[in-house]
Amino acid sequence: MADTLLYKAGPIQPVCLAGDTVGLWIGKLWKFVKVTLVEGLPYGSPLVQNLGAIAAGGTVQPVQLTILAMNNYEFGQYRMRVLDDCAVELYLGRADKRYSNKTVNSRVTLFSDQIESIFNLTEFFLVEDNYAFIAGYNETGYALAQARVAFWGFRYAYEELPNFTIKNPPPTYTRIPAQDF
Amino acid sequence: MRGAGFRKTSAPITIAAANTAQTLYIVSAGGTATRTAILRKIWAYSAVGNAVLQIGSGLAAAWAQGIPPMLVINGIENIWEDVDTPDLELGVNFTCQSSVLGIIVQIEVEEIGA
Repeated sequence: MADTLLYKAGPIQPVCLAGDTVGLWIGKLWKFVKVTLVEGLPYGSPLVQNLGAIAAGGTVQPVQLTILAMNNYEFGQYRMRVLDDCAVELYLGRADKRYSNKTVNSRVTLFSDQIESIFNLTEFFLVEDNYAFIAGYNETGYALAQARVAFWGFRYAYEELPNFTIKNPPPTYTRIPAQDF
Repeated sequence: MRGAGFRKTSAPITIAAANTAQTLYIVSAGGTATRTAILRKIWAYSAVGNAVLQIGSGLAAAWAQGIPPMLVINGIENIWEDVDTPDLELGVNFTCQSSVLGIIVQIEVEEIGA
């Protein structure tokens, strides 16, 4: 089994290898699958979402990240960085804000770039076409002409393992917090 | 400070007409996501007398000064390094104009994007 440490410091690495068993936490249930193939999703312009201009102190309502959607029987592992001086909130599903504790939702900003230069704390997972969304905030005192957010990561193809359930789980599996947690 | 950009330079250009803005650096289009560029360094040389150099954006009536004017002293290399240069970031081309034609200007920028 691969090193299964999620959010691992350093350049992004796959959380499992082909042949590994994975538990996807989605819909408040574990879905057990076997990874069949892994492929990189390099940093590049097709994986950049531009939220557009934001007035001083303004916001952009959550934008669906269609550029990150996966095919059926696939999940994605992504990290992100903002390219402009904007702040973004992540939603996994339109109403489910992430990077949350009991009282606040944290945001990814240019300062995240300086504190976590490898962006490991931004890591998140998407299963099939369960869309992610990002909302944008201009926390500066002047207008932003654009608010760009870049993504990169890995794509995993899998086959389902319907015989395993949480009462009868696989002997070992990598736990992926995909959605609804 | 912004990281993970790429340093690129303009070609050295010669000012063709006094007080007339001309293109200095063309910001890369950047595929499906637009790029921006941050001014990092400026070089200028004059053999035609002292001159006032301005860097900004836009041509003709659209000219907009981006940083304060700089005095280019005749006969020496005029260099403004990172520490001397405001981090002017533009999503459009850098342009410049000078009070005297014939001076040579080059800039280094850091392109941000993907």
